[in-house]
Amino acid sequence: MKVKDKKIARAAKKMGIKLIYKKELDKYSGTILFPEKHNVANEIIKNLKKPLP
Amino acid sequence: MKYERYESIYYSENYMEFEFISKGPKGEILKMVQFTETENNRIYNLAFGNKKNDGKLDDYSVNNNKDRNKIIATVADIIALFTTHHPDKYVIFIGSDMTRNRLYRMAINLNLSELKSNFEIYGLLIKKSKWITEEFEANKEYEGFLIKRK
Repeated sequence: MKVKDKKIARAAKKMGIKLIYKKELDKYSGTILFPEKHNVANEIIKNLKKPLP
Repeated sequence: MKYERYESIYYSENYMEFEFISKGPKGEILKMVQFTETENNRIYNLAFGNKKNDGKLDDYSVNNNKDRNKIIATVADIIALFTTHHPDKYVIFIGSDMTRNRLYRMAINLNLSELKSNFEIYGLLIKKSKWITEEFEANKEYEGFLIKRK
């Protein structure tokens, strides 16, 4: 499948990357594959003293 | 990035999941990268690890496949692609331990001038049990990193 986002397609070309669509990866969408890391990130974000720059 | 990188990258339709194959003395190891939206919808978490033969993921294993720098350069390319699609989002990444955080810091340091021309880079620190962000300083220890396209 052709890369739909033209900006990504251009960026990949510039970086010399061959982007290949893999349908199998779509099944992971909406599933958090690394929950521990995700939870740590959420914990940090909740406890950020200052708002984002 | 000055390092070699893996040039073939697999992606999902929404550009949230990516894969590439690490190749080295230990053979071929499938690496998976995923971005997930956090409780703050301006920030996406980056996580990556090995995809094992049984389909399970492992973000703690050490491969010793002699391609550490190539993997880091490839993950950096994936961040660049993701932030091309989501230019207004921050990406947070935290190493599994201090060794990995040091490794990430070194990777940023090595390419700091190049990275700074395209990205805002922040270090994450704990001060008085609160997390703070500050502009990334070379050679300073951080617990994690935040990056956003300029």
